[in-house]
Amino acid sequence: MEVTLTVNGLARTLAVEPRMTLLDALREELALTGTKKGCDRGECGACTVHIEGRRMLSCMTLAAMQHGRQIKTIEGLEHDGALHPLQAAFIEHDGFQCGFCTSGQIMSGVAMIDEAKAGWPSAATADVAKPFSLSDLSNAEIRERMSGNLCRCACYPNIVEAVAAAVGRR
Amino acid sequence: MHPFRLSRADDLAQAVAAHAMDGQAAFIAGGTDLLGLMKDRAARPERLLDINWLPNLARIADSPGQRYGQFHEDRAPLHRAHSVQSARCQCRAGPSWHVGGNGRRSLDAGQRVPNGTRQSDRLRVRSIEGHSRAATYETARASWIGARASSGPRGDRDSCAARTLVPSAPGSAKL
Repeated sequence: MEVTLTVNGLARTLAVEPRMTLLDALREELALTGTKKGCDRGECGACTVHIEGRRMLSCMTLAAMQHGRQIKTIEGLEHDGALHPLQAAFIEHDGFQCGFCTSGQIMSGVAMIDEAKAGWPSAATADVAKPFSLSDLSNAEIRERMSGNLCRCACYPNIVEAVAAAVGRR
Repeated sequence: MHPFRLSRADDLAQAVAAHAMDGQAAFIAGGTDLLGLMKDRAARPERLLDINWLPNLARIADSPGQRYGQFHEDRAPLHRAHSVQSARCQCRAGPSWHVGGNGRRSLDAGQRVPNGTRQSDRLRVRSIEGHSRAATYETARASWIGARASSGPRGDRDSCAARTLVPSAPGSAKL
């Protein structure tokens, strides 16, 4: 099937089999290997990308299902050679060890901050009837909202620090 | 994954009819469960109907069951607009808002215990993995077929939202 995806702002047309996941299309067809394949089962979050601005697991969707959509990967996060603030915060706060989960963590974190800004509650929100604001983004909130991304080096405290720093909480 | 055909459903009535006519067809929405089963070869549909583009499913019905469209982009305001208790249940049902990670996108909020059901399905498949792989696939496949036969018009786990549409006649089906 011929599929056109806008990846990091560039329209890319590729021929894929229906069974090719978006993750494989990004890595194998477009050579964007920043997005990692961990479990390939939607459980680890390493393959997180943004589709139309929302975080999605690229191993759990087919490339052909995303025809015409805007995809952003970790490669598209920097702007004019400057790191995204969350990327910089991960370095500053040592939010990784081996780095395999980091692309997914950062893509998830960027979208998660947008979700909090948009007022979305989470399972850790005490009162979901009250509009959520960025100032409510406690460490417990960050942990809950980032719970779809596993880190087997267990860098969670520093990941939480990095996200908190990126939202200007410290 | 085995090869299959993929087509985009642009019309709800046509999608329901196509699914009803083709015994080897499955709806795909979020894909969280279906793709995992297909990767394990526990599910082998010959044809996938992508229902993500159906405009009807972005709608909200203010009914006693508080049925939301499965693809509504931002449910948070809905949760507030409807009962707080219901919102609590929904927010606490899954581990995060991570779309694709917990199947939230493919679930209909009108279902009472969707996550519990699906989690037990996963655990069942996974617990079987301790035994021989052949047994895994056959047993998983058997449970898949059993689910198809027993849980609704088509029993397709990845189309639980679509299933809720079926009570009204195809063509008049609306959320």
